[in-house]
Amino acid sequence: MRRGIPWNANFTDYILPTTVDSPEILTEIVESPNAMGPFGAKGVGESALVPTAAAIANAIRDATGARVTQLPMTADRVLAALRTPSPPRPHGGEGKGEGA
Amino acid sequence: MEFYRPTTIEEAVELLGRLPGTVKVLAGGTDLAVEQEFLHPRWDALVSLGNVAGLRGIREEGGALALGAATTFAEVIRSPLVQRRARSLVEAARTVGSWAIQVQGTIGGNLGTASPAGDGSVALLALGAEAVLRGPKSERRVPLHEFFTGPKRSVLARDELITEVRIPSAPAGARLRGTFLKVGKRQAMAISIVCAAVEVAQAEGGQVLDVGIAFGSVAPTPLRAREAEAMLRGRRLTVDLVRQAAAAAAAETRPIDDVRGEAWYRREVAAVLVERALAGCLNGAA
Repeated sequence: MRRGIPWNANFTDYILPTTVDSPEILTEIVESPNAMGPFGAKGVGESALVPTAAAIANAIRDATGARVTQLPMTADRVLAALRTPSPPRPHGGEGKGEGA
Repeated sequence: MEFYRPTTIEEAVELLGRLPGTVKVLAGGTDLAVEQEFLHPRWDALVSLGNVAGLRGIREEGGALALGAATTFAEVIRSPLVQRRARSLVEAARTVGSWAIQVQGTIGGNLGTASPAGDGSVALLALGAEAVLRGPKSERRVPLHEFFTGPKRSVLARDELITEVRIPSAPAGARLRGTFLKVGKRQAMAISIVCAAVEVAQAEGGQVLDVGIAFGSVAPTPLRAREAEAMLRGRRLTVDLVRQAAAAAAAETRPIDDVRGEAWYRREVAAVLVERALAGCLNGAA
């Protein structure tokens, strides 16, 4: 998006990962009943989407020390981030205060 | 829009010279279909090559390899002749679009489109290939390093048809190694951010008899890294020499920032691709 205009307005330009791009996705169901849902049910699609990008960004940070703050986290962005001095890890590596 | 189905090269060339307005040549149609879908151009005539004899087939001619312009990428991949002589072209063909594109798209069409990112074109450039252009009165052979003049522009005249692509014979007794490497926004069905074709002919002792290094997507046209090649000819490859040549090759590129990538990244990756491609030749094994 630039100035409110989508620049990838078709699937030729907005390219999706293919079968040869996707990593193996291992699914673990967390059985944690939701008091508000019918019979304790909870939606799985939307909730799983929310933390995914952050988790991957943290995984990259953990593996390489590089903090990528733009999506998508493409190879060139990771490479640029690897070259940019990253803020030091907080004491104990707990992730608290990691905002940069 | 008028549709023509000539049956001979002469008939096709005559049509190209005679028909007024915007005339498009249809072989596999894989580039034309995209152009039509996105640009909605006004074409006055389509000249289909589907029935034209003499544009297909791959044959050896005294060590040189002649490929009909309407040879599909799938046919390139399957050809034992191409696998032996022009490995980088086989690997490039494997990265073109998808299988569905490969069975339709042709090497002649790839040259005709003259995209600076054309995978087949980049490999053919590294191979020192030439294009045979047939006009109404004569035929000419244009080495590919003189064929491309700018993004999607070539010396192909309005009334000329690419009929054949010729790959010269390799130095006698040489061990050949050809590689094509491509980096895109995804592993398949992606236009390259940068791609490289490297062809090396080595003597028994490992000396480089001939080498071709070509890039895509780093200049207005497919680009040959002449200075890097000159560093390698006649020499035996070492890790250091490979690294130097890779850096020299990347320095010859003239990339821009565009929707797929930035210039700095393209230049970096160009060096990496050449180094990887040459690394396989270090012990002289084919």
